[in-house]
Amino acid sequence: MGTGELIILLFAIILFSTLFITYYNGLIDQADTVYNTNYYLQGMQIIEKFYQEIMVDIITESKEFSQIYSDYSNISDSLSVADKFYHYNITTTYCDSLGNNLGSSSKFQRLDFRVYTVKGNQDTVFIGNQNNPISKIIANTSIN
Amino acid sequence: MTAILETIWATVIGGMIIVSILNGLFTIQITAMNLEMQITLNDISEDVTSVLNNGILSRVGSGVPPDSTIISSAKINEFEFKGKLTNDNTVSVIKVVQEDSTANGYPLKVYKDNSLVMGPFWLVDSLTVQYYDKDGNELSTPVTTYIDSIRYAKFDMEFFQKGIDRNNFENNLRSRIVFWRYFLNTYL
Repeated sequence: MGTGELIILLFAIILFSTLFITYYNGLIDQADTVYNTNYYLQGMQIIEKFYQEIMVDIITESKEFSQIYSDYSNISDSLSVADKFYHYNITTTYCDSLGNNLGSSSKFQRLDFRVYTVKGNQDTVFIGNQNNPISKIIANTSIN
Repeated sequence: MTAILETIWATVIGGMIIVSILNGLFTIQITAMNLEMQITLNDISEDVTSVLNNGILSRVGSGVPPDSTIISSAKINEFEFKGKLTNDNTVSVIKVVQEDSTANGYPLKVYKDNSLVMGPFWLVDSLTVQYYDKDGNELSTPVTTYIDSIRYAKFDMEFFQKGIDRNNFENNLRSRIVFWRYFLNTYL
């Protein structure tokens, strides 16, 4: 085998290897998305927990509608779940029945939730963010 | 002689390249299979959690007269209550329980009036349920004396499925989920 043939062979091996690397890399990217699902699910459960907590305040009438607005106006804290810290932020906004901002007191409030956690590899997983929070709307159903 | 040596070298090098290619393909195949199983496991985890949380546990105390006992058993791996499930006309006794470990793992089951209605779903470890009163104080399990004080519970479970591992032949793909359920009927 001559030198030229050897170089061509080496090039062939290198090019073929890049196919493998590209394919495997794509697979790892997909794996990242799949394994992040666990964090998304957990984040949604945390949001559900706070929503249920607020529902309890409403049905027991332990807090007035306006107090829910002020108490949850801008809460940021952390919660340890399954040996991992989830950081959350909750904000409240008076809105119409469709969730559009009104800027003044109304019969509806939009609760915006944002949760994030830092994974083992130091990547951050966001469940809702500043521009696209997880939103829930509550209505003031009290008679007075 | 030279020709024989060159042939041997070519065979060795060619063989190494083929082994590397097969090894790479094997790794890719294992990763892809585990990924597919993890997707299925995540789906199962999400579905089971959703049905348990929103379909079963949200019905705690539903249709039960105010002076009746709603929760009859509150252990770390068992929660039994009275409630009327969606589309049911009568109040039933519902039990969410993790039974004894088997070779497949810990079976999570849901019974309605002693009849199995959900499960078994296999958990890698025992189910952990923690109970809280209205002020958020954790009640030590099994809750007996203060069972009427339970207002919400935290469920911690980890589903699993056998995946493939090159070194140990098999490994456990896991999906751990923790959720809370406030028993709204107990507040009324």
